Amino acid sequence: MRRTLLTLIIGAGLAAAAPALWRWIARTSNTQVHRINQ
Amino acid sequence: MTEPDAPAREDGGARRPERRPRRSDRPGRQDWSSWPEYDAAAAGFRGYWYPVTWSSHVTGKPTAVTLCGEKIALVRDSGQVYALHDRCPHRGVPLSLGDQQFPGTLSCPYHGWTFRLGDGQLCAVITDGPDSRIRGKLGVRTYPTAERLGMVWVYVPLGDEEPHPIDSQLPEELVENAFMMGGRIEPRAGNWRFACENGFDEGHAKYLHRTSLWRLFKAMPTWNITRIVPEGRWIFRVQDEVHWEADFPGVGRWTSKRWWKIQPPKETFNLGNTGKPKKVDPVIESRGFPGFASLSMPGVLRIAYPNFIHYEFYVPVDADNHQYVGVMVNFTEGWKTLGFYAKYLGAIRWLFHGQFSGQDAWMVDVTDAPPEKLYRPDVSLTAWRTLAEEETAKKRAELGAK
Repeated sequence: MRRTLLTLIIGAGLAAAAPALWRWIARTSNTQVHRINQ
Repeated sequence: MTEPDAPAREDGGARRPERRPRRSDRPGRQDWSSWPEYDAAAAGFRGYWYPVTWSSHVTGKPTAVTLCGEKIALVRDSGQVYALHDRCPHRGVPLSLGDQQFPGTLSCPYHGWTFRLGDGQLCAVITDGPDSRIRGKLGVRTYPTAERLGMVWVYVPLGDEEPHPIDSQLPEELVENAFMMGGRIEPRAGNWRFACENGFDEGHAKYLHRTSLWRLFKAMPTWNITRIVPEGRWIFRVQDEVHWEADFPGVGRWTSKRWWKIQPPKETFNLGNTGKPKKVDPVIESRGFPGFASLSMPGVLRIAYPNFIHYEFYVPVDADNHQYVGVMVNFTEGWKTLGFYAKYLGAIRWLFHGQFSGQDAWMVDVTDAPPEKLYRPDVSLTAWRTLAEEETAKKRAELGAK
């Protein structure tokens, strides 16, 4: 029970952080992908 | 030991007339004086837009870049990117080390000299009070900026002219079409002209890149007969003959064909120098490129394949360094764009814009010319240098600048 709860909390935390993490990688990386004119 | 072409001694023997050395005996080109504008453009051609960094890298915190030998501070304010000469006139401290103390301004970190982003005027001197006598009496140079292809572009003027519209300088197919692009911006050692010449160089890709992983999926010939076709502001490399393998007298047979690599096509297709594809992208087909490799000022390479186009922008930093901007474009929309994310980030980024392009970076770093002894495929190099001369003369005439 406790392990499931911990897994859920960590999973939710990672899911919540994913967009910010993605933006951080995009901002700092020297390679990027963009949609242009769409 | 006798030198075969040594003149006969005056003290004996029949005197042979000195013959003109064969072309292959000549020492080669000692300088680039045949292309004076090109020769003088070690730090780049002025009067053009250059991509300097990703748009997302420019924030309210200043970023320092060097372009055509000029130090520039980039900063974003209210969504707009501004470019100022990165040197405070007071004590020469880089303004890019400073920050924004007031909206629409940038302050030097040393004594708080504060410059307006729009026109570079000194609008406040924090450590000299509101009635500072120097306020409004000087400023720093500003540069026009634009954002295209997810990147910040800066215009480096030739004189005091207004910049031409950036869209007139971009490859035509990138202005209005919808597409996906993946790109890499990387500082590299070596002069920008070596990078540009390497990009359009007819000879090297077949040999230098034979060991790259990208070549597992892209067969390349052993040698070609090439001519250069000018079209508008571009020059194109057109293959008249393609030879996949060859016998070299006295040394043997050479080919880059291997059983583990993709095999050469039976019929070579003009785009991409590949086999005839089932389908060609309609945007690419509509352009009617006479050849798959083309180049335009101020160093923009376009390699057109049947279903994607690869571009390289060679950005002059200074005489010894440049910035490589590689862009892969796929004219896809809708759900197919998801595939591009996977393809670019999973493969192209590593194989093409990584290892393959890294081999070019290696050669550009160690190239040391002139002097140089050019050979038949180098028609691509001389055509590019001639284009640079012609376009620069045209630009100078338009601007009335000398």
